[in-house]
Amino acid sequence: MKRLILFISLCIFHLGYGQLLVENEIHTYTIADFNSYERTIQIEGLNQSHNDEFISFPVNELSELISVESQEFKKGKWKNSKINNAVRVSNLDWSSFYSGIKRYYYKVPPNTHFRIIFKSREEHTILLSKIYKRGYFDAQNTTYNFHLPENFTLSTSNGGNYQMDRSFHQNDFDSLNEIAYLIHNSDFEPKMYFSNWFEKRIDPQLELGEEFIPEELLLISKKESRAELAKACFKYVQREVKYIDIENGINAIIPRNCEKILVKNIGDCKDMATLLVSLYRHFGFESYFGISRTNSKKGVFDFPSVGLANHAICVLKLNEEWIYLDATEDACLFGDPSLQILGTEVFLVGHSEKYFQEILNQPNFELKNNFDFTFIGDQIHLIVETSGKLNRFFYGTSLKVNDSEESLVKALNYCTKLDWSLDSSFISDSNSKLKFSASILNSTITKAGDRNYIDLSFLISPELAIALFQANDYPLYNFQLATTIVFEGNIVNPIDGLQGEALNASVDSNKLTVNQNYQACESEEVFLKSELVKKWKHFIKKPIITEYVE
Amino acid sequence: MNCFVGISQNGIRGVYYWPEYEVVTIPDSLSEESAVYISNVTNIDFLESSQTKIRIFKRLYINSEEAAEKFSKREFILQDDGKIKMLQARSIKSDGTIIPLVDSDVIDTYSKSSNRYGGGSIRRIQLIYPDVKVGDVIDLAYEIHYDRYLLSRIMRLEDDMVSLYSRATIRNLSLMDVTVYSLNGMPEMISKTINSVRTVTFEKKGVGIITDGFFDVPRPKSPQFIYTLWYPHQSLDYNTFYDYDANKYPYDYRKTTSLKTELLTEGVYNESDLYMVRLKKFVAYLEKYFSWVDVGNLPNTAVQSTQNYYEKQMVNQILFSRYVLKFLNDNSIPFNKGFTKNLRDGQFIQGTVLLEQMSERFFIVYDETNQAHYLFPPSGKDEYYFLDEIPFYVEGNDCVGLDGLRDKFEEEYPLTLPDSELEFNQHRSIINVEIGADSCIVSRRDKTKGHYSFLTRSGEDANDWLEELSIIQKTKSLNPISVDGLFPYEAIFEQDSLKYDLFTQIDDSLSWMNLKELLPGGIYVEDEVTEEYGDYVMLPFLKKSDFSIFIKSKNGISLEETNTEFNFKNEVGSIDIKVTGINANLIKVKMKVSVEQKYLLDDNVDQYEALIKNYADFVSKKWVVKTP
Repeated sequence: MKRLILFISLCIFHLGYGQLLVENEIHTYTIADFNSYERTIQIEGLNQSHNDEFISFPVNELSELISVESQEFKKGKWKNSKINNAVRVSNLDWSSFYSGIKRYYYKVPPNTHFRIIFKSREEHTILLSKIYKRGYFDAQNTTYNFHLPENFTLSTSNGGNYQMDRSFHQNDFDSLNEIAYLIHNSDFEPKMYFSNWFEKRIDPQLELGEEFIPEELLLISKKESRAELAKACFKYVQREVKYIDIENGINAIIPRNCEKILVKNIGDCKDMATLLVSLYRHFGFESYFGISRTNSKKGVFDFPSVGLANHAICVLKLNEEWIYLDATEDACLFGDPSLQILGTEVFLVGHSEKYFQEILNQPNFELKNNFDFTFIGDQIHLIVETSGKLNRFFYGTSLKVNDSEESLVKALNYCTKLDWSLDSSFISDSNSKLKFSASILNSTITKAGDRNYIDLSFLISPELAIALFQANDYPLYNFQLATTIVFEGNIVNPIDGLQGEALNASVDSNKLTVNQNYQACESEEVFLKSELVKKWKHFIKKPIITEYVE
Repeated sequence: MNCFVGISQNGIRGVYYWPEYEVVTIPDSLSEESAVYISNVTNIDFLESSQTKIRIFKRLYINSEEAAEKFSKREFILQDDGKIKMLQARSIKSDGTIIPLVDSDVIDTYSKSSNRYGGGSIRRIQLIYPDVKVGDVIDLAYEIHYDRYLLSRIMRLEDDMVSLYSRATIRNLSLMDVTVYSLNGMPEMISKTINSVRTVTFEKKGVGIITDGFFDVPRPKSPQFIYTLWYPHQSLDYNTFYDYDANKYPYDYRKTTSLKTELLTEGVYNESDLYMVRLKKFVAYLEKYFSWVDVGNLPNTAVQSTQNYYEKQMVNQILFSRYVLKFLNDNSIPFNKGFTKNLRDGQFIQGTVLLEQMSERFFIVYDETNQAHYLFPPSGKDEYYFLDEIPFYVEGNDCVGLDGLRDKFEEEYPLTLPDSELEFNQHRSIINVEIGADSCIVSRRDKTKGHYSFLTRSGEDANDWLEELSIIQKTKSLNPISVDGLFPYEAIFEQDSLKYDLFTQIDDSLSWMNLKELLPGGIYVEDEVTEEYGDYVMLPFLKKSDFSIFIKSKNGISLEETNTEFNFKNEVGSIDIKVTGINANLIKVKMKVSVEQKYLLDDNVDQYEALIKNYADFVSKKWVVKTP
């Protein structure tokens, strides 16, 4: 959040297009071969403000600037203007998978009708992946021109196949805001080209000499079942390989060599996926490198374009079942998809029978999530029990932090606004049971006449429950949260209108039971409008009234 | 921020002879620390060739999985023009195996930023340590060269992790003179001259963490030392500093035209106006008509360029001070120059002449009765200080006044910037709630004074600040009505007839009244209750809030609760909330909050946390009321 910053003189500066009106945006791609092409971007518009404004757009890592022209429209003519320091080309942006990009920046002087033309030489047509109806700059008119050599095809996610010269205008997008595409060899259909492209580059990285195979896995392979071995491989990579999120250019989509990963024990998602594939293949399992999408990336990954993906996993076939393994999640149980890939899609490199697979949004293991509150005197006692994927928060915290108890208490304090103490805890990778206690706040109980009016605001809201147990803004999978609250006096007010599937509340003398049914949904917006959230707001809005007990 | 980023894979470079590693046992008292420096050493060399060389060596013991993950990727930042001449890193496994980092484990990222307020560049060096595990030791050594002298810095032995051994050394191989001030219980300064090279060293076993957060600052009495490098045979005294400053801020950047004549002609002020009225009008003129501009690094003697900027009606902090200097000179208003430092960086030390101490510049101007007033340059666009307004990050700090005639220094004198009193930083609000048939209508009038006024009164961001200060809720806005022309510059805001949802029907006669929407969400900021606090805290300013909420219902309203009053008071501050039935149709809620200490130490930090927790509790309380 914004901060009361006058302690320090901080300058906040926005890079935005608020005062820029882009009238025309024309992209032209002239493809030489699969490794090189030229790109021209022409932008025309107005800086309507009295300040310099910056525009910037991303280019891939190996982009080489050929020329920049800058013009201003004066007295009815376009006239060349001085570039000076107006144009800057950055190099890399290391932040995440597939982000091997750099940016071009252009400083637009105030009150200028401007035109800029960037020409660059680029590498790897695989990185050409999306066109946008309104371009990069929310342009009034957008045009994309492609010039392809013979035997090249541009295929689009909406079913188009084009050769030679092709232009896309805003009306070609229909109701779509963006179209994914792939430039490929006309002899191959897009999925096969995409798979081959990756296979050719990943296969050398999979090499793993016997001497690099961890001893503990070799031992397990001799003593334990195949399922145990598969689990041990996953646990090994999950435990030993530390996640490093530095990605450079084309290396953002090509994994590191497995032997190096094992020696250094560092890697990102694609490195962990490659290592797992390699280990599994070494032990004779059927496994694939999966290019995937996390659920934070919107859309559906059903067309072979890197622009629709942002993640990599290992896909293992075990006992005729597909298992989707993402070792980047520290507390993920073997067999469960990680939180970030639940309900998404994956492209299996080299699996020509069926390249795309859907990952269900339901974990495999039993889910338990019980919160039991008891009011005694001026204290509230709480017992929390979790299992399966819902245990991720407790197990994950206990794995990492020396003072994990303090971290757990802080999280619970944040969610409930109470000041908890942890009285006891049992935490394992699959289930946990923790006991807490806290003092009751002034705002929790109001005495009026012979009644207590109890504000249930200390209960964890659905939004915070999702943040705590699914590390997300909306439910990624279905689960139930069962809460009981035992008060000192009998409950005297009726619980009206709170029976139903989404939220069910019932009263038995001094005990209130609330069952919440969380259903997976596709966005925070949908979740916030869900029946559960609506009913919760209704439920929490009124006090629980109990008899006053001395 | 406009940020240009580039990467060069320079990797490991230079040679470093690692200090021998001996296995150490982390003491039980540090077992909960996630990582511990075994050795943390800084050497600064001032070379003859006008260069500064900084050599760092850090040996860190990994004591938790959290640290193993965190320090698998290590990074440090280089400001501006530093060049890395040496970079070496390695990890030492618990079995003694040494794994040196190679070029591909180092990512060297260069970022240049520029914005309206100036430009600068940063280099980020990221080191990827392979296979870090609990029990490992990771070594990092690097050397940075600057093609200039870093003239003055404040230094501490404390760092981001506790340390078993820390050392800082300054070696002066230059022709300049170095002065070192040791403060607040620093270990004994070891000063030697070997082969004509003066060396100053501080070292200590067992060094704590330096906490840096929103409310956390270094303790004023925390051990530190400050060095200053200055010309040989020329002591850096206030006379010298005055000359140095006069070069950047010339008393008259435009010799041909009198600013006074020009402003009088333009009607900015009248001949009959008193000095301080003229000054106020001039500042108001700059604020109203001059656009904020980034002029980059202005040359020190920017006579011509300052004139150009004035003519183009552009201003920033530096230009503001130059304009005001000329204004004061042309109007023959007596003034002195004042210097102090940001309290975030520590207390100003009287009696020492150190550049590091002079980072905040202001004017001490005298009216016709010889009464002193303060004028600070704006801290940013739309952030103009009025006469006698002192930024809260310097108020109460000691400072030095430099008296001189034009560019000739006469004398210095110590003074302390006044601390704003509780009464001056007020937020008062009168809120009227009219309960209707199916909703309630709220109108309110808010008055802010002192620092509250500075933060909320000007610019497009006024409502953002009101929201930031938790005075209003996200979806609401207050309309600025007026700002008083006299200190503490009371600003008035109004809001008329907005619909609020404050009541929930409990049954046929009772309702739950929730005032949270009307009251500030926190004492300074809404989420301060979740803030991490160190053992020394500096609050932004002393403050007082006073809210009166009148809840009216034509059909009658009464409070049903047994407790109608909540109070909390400790050494840091107090909260009082009281609900009174004025008559059958009117309830009055009165809430007063005061924060009476600015610098909090140890137990007082806990007391502040107790204060904000109680505040959160009181404002979230829902009141049971009877509404027919």
